[in-house]
Amino acid sequence: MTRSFTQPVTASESANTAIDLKSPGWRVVAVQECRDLWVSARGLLLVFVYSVLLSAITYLAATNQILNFLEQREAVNLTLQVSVAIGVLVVLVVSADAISGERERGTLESLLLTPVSRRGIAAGKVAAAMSLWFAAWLVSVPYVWILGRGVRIVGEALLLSLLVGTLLGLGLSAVGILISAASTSNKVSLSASLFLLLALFAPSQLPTATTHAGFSEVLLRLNPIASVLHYMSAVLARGHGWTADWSYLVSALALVVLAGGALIVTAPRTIRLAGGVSGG
Amino acid sequence: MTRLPLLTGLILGFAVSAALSASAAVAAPPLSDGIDIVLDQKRLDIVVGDKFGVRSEITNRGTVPSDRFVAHLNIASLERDVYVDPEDWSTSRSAVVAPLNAGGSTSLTWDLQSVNAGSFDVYVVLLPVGPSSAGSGPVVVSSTPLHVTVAGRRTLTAGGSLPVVLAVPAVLGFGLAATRWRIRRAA
Repeated sequence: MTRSFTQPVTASESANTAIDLKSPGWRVVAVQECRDLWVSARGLLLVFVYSVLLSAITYLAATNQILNFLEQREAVNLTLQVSVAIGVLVVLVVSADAISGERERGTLESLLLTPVSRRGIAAGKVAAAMSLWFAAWLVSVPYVWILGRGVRIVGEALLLSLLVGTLLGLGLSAVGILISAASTSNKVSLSASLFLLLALFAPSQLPTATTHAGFSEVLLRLNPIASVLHYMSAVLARGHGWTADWSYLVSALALVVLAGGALIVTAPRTIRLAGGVSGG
Repeated sequence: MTRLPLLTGLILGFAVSAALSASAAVAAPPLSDGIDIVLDQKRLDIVVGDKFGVRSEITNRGTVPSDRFVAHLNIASLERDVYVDPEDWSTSRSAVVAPLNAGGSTSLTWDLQSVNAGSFDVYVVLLPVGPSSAGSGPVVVSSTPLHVTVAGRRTLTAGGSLPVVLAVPAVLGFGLAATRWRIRRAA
């Protein structure tokens, strides 16, 4: 949020601001954050890069001789896994910038002076970060349609990706804001968040045989990203019912509850001008 | 002097019986004798990407219990210019078969997915792995392979995907450029 609440607004904006002030605090923050994200073209740039990546994956799936052996269901699954993975990555990056970035740009002070609770600020920032996920999901619609037409899984695939992506996005957004609030600098926050995401993605790249044995299965179920991607594959590629493998969603649900709970509990103490976990 | 022929006879008798027992040991039936493998299908016509299963019935037709085996599935391309990597076709191609009693049988099901177009033979081999038989063979091969003819399929085409692949980034790129231009003009 780069615009200060005390900064003068133009005549055309004043009406909107007046309406916003009647809304709950978190919604005022969310609207302001979304405006900053989308009007400043930052969100559009991220979504544009995301669309270029999806285009490359879709074109490869449609033309490459090696990838073309894939069944259509598997091609849809591959594209959706990439779209969910990159979508939540973008959400995490924006969330990781939410507090530490404001601190470094010198705009956090004016935000803290507004009559919005710290929890309201955190909730508004989560909502703004999630707007990026919903935009990314909308962008993925035509790609899924082009790959999945004819096998009647487009609707199911899109609904599934919306559900699991929203679940993962909420959890990772809360984690990103927790890291951002606790970090001493924006660089630390972004690095820590990216390392965390890479660590969570790594198990999903292991060969299938190793993920179905003993301790690997436990790790798979504990890892919210790997287990959610596994759940998507089970439903889309292997044709399982939505409820057959629902237990793979438990870790993502737990992430939302635990990280969201931790954010609610710690926001009043960690969202402050000084970074770090022990600062006053 | 009367003892010499007796001693010679004893030595000769021992030598002959030893030789006979040695030749009996060489000629003893191998532990995999009487084992056969039969696949439940002989021909299959599919298209690239199709998943299919093949069941192999392993029977001990001998009179003695068999040893322990490792059953291994293999896929061979019958066309010179088609390369086949069996690992791409099936993630699980080996299974341990417990000793079979005389007349006993067991079956194994193998799941595969066709990766290449072409003409292939799928077969199963048994390798003895008992403490005394490991590495001694002979290898038992399925009596008839499953002949798989895989036709090519291109459900996804460059032409079909190109409009979306180009249009979506183009629209977003235009929106991005317009937004940046508006911001610059406002500044």
